[in-house]
Amino acid sequence: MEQFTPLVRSKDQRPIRYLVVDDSIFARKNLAKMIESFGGQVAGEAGDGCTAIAEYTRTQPDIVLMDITMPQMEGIEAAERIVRQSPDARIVMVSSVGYQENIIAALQKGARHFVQKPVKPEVLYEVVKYVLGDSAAASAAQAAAGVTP
Amino acid sequence: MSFFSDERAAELRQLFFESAQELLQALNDQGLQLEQHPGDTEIVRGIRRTVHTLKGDSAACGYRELSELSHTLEDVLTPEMAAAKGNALAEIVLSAADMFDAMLAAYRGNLQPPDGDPLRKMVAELLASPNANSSADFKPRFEWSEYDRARMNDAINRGRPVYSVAVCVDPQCPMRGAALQLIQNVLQQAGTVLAQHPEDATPNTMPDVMEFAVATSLPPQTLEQKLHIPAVVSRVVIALWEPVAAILEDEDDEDSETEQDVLGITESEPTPLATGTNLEAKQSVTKRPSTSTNGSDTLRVDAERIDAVMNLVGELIIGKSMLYQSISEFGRRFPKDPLRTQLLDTMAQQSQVLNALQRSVMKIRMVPVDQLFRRFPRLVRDTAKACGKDIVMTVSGADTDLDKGILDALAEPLAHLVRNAADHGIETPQERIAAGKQAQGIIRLNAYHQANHVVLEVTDDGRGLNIERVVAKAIENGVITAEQASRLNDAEKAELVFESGVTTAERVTEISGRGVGMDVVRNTLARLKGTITIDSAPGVGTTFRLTLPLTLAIIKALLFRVGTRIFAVPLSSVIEITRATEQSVHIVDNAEVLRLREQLITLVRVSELVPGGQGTSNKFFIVIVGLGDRKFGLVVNRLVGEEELVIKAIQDNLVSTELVSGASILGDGTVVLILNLTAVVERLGRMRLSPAAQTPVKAEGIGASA
Repeated sequence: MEQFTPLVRSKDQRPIRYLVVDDSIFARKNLAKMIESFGGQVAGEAGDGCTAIAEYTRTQPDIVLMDITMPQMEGIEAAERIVRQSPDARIVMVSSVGYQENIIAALQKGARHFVQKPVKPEVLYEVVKYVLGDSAAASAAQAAAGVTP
Repeated sequence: MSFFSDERAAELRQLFFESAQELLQALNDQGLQLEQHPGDTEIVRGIRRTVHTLKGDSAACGYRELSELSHTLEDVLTPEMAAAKGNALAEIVLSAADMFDAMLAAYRGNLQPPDGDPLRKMVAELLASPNANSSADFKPRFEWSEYDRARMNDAINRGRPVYSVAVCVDPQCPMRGAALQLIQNVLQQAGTVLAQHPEDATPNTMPDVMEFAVATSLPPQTLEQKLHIPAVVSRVVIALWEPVAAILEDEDDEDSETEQDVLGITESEPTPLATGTNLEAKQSVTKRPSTSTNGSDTLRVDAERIDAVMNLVGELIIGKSMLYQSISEFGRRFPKDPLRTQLLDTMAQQSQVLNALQRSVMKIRMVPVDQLFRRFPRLVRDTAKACGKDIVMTVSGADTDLDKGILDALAEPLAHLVRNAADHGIETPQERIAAGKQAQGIIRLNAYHQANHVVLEVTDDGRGLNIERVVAKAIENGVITAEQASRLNDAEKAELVFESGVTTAERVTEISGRGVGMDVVRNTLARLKGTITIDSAPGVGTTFRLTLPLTLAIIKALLFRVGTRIFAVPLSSVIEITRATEQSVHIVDNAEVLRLREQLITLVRVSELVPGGQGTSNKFFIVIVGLGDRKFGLVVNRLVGEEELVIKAIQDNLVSTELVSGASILGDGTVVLILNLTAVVERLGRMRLSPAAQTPVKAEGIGASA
């Protein structure tokens, strides 16, 4: 897999921590691989919405990649609850094109972005970078700037 | 084409011309729409369908040049092109409509169609211009509505900078709705969204370019950064919004650029086109009243066939009155005969059916005035553009029905009035603002029924008619004397605009802004037995009101006798009838007048038109007729009655006078001449104004030629 300039947290130069939520193990593994190529770290995984909320509270990730259709609790509801708990939560919805309505709903409830399946690493990388904004930085640049603080 | 018989091919071509005319109208409408909403993919698709149909139809008829040109045009009619160059595309579509029109006119006359190269060149330029196909070169319009602007100003007053933001949605992004939502989210997080264009974007109709007005305290760089949403937005343009002045200048520059492009094209074939269209419209047969394309319930019929039926109905009506006459004669001879009542009953029933028949046939000839009105948005747009004005046209009563023949004859006069209103009536934006009006001028077309008439109004909210200067010019050109002018009321003064005075026309235009062809307008109206009046208030605007009969074929008329002849005038123009004697006629200012209820009414001696028409009796009737706002009294010997007349056109070589507008036959076979009131009053009225003209009129009297 293609390698990306590692993204790190601006505040402590540590790898970005991800929570990956998807009911398909294959999809989670696939995303985990990409995260690895971004220089990130999978802080937790969940296969349904309820677990996702619990995992979010436990791991306090920098970013959540959330599937839309899942058993028990749909991604939209999980996203909504997480945002209600932690308004700063950065959630990226991951879904197929057919679920546009659901994505719109999720965006209205506080999700920050969406990527469509099949996920393209270069797209996800840009999306993650955008969603994290100032709190993430490409590590090389950060290394240079990181001397001063 | 060769596998059809000649007749079949001709029929096919006729059909093609009819539908092509409608397609062109649609193309014009759509082009204007696109200009309003550049980048609207739905409109572009519509245009493409229209052009595609035209291409197919013309190819089927063997009109290769037209078909090929349509094909060329089709190439650029893509949603991408609309998003990138909506305005330029609209220009091309409108120019193409003109070009196609010219080609159709040529085909119709079996001429070589004009060369389509100017259009090809436009298309090529559009395609060649850098990045035409990519979203990289989109041009935001940033035209906010008045309401939006008010909100934006408000935000600025509260100390928040306002930015116009245009985002180009990534063509790769399949979820437009989600993209829109995300963009809105980002903007709402950054500040307050004050306006959005298009306002009603939904996931399905969302264009490639969205525009917003945002009030934010974020620096524009940050805003731009935030809007560069990966996988959703491909390009962002941000401009600081400043109230009015600065923006206006900017837009003006762009406009003049495109304007030059247009001029380059239209210059090659401007006016002949317009007249060509009008001529065609006159010749073309009944069009469908609605623009809808599903023709399952409509039937296309050649107008001539309907006219034939109308003629027959006319003959029936004449037959009816003959029959009536015979029956009353019969009744007089055999008053006791039971057959008499039987005949009368049958007759009554017969005439009821006949009336219904007449109404139905007349209804077939009726078409909504929309057919006429819909040509004008384009005219207004072109005129406004040419003289640098901002004009909007509104239409009401477009579904009012009018006789097809009248409607066609009105095309040119109405176009003249509309063009005048746009060209001279409406001021430039600067003048308007200085006068405390909105920069955008309004031209209103209105149509409505009034009794037995249809009224069409052309109203502008411009500077109004400068009556004093019209009068001054009329005096200068000898149309009236200063002394006469001093006695005219305002309405009469305004009507001087219509005085032909052939040589004065041009100069009257220069000073008053009205005049060229105004006499033509009035003459057309007179020919249609209609009238035209002007309402004008300085600084407020001008209204031209055209009053027309519902139909030309059958009129209710008042018949009267002058000398040995029977004349008729349309009953609709008769206001009242009164008796008078020579003693009650006064001479005021060289004209005979009658004092009627404190009002002086100018008398017109119809008898002067007939040799030996002066009756011996010094008692007579005065038929008071209204022409527009003015009243005249026709002096007649005897009243004959009221009758439904079927008008038969008189061939010009038989009666070479405009004083008569037609003739009809009465039940007893008597021929009645129907007076053209406008001409009669003008002729006899003018005689009063300038005694020098008296002799020629007499020489040309009706009696002499009939």
